[in-house]
Amino acid sequence: MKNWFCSVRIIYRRLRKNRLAVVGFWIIVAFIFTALFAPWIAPYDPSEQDLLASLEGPSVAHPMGVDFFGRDILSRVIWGTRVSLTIALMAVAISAIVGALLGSLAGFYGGILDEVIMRIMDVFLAIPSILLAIAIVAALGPRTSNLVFAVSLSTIPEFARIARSAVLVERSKEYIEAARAIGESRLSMLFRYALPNSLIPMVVQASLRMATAILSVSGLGFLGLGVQPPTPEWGTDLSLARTYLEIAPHAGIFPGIAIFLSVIGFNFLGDGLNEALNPRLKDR
Amino acid sequence: MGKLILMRVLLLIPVLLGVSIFIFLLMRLIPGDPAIIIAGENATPEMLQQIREEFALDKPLAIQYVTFMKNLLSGKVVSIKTRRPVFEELFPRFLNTIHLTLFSMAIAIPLGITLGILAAAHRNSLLDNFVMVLALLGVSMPVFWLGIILILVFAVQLGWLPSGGKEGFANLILPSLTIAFALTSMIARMARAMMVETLSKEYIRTAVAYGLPRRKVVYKYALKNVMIPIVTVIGLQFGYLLGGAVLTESVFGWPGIGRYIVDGIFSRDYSVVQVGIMFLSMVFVLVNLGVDVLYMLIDPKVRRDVSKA
Repeated sequence: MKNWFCSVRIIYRRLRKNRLAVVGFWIIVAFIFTALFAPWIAPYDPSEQDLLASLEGPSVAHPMGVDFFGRDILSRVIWGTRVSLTIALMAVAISAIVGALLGSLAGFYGGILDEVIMRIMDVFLAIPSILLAIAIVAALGPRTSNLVFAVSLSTIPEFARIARSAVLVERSKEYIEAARAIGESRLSMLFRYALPNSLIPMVVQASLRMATAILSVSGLGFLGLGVQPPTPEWGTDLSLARTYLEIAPHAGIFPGIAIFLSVIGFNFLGDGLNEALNPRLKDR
Repeated sequence: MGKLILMRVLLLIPVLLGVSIFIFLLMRLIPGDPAIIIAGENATPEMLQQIREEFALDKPLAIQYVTFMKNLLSGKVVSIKTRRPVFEELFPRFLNTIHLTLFSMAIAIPLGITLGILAAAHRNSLLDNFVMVLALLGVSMPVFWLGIILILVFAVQLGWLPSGGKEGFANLILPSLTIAFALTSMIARMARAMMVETLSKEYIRTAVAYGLPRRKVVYKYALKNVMIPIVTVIGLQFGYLLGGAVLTESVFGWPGIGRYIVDGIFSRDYSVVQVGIMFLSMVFVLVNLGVDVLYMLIDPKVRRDVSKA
């Protein structure tokens, strides 16, 4: 475990040198802060309607303008942070945990179990991810729990692959032999040694997957299959803004910027982590 | 060689079966009478009875699945809204999607490869940093938002291009630019990563050590070796492209297969959804297979290994 912390410190040092990763990190911090303190930051209630101000452009009272229903767009974007980040985070957490379990079981036990698990993963890789999400939401309805399920399902195979290959590498190492020699059970070896060692590539993947998850959630929202109005969600709000885009472009532009920025944050951080961790990409 | 390809094809069968079973079961999870779901809300009792028989809905699930696949393959699955065979409606729309996709690829592939290779050749230079930041922005941009911005600028403000439809070449430009932006970024990132890796290989360093001009080493020897894997990876992005097309088609009202499926969801036309998603997944899997086989055929290293074995 001590060893593990050492490597985390080395990664942190390398990461700090990567300017993009630092930028990404602070963007994410800002979004998390916004999500946590939304009720105090947002100037208005996100569903409060001031119909007289409908479609008003950006002003001092409403920095991002007002939408068709007279709701303050800034407040909706701020509250939307909470919705988008929560769904994306839950989806990525679930797929990372399920993927890690399935992948490491497949890698550790091999044989038929490996075959069966990985072939099932192949099935989910074969359906383009947004279509898989669309199919699930179409069948089960656009409830939040279904959205989380829909977004996580298409990501499980990638986490499973990473965990499997990490476990395969670890399995052949001497310390696992040694652990076996002193009579440790296979399952405890898996959880005590092999799995923690796959943690770092999993974290990289998780950061990059957060980016795609946010895009998927807002994409579903944009198609009308995501979080349902009046709940503030970036993609859903953007799709509502489409109908009166020519009169009030701000209603579509600002939710889009929020999606774009949050995705940039996770992509920058994930990319930087990848570079800091992958010795092949390191500067020679 | 033939054996290896045959093996790859055979391995596909369980995957395709798995996909169809999954989609089938998913559609059965829709609450309500499956006969009504297949025939539509306003179906007459006689029609429902006919559907029940045709799709073996009173039989066990396994038989229902086999019957559904049989009906699907013989073109008996009809759209609820139009009562026409789904496949008949789906195919022209699929061609529209391909049309859009190919046009985007024609922009993105040469541009992306050039940018990626240049960035790798001038590693850590200003150009490299610029291209890579731009590419990261490109993969982070939500396609539907980019589409809307393009419409706002080029259709609403400037009035140069139509904001949607499919009448002529002008209608193709904005949607394909929307797809091409993300695709170019993705290809540039992959091309750069692969070129950087190739440039660190022994034979390249040897060539440089022998005193060959760096320009020649990079653009002749390294480039030759990196092109095949780059093209392969691009081929494997096809599924992503089809996914991206779903959103882009919705923004621009492009009558492609993605929009067809989404429209199917809203009109509760589950036959359309089911057949459409199965069809796209099959295409996706087959394209990946095609790319793999092509890779085996053109890569001399793989070819030699196989003939030795």
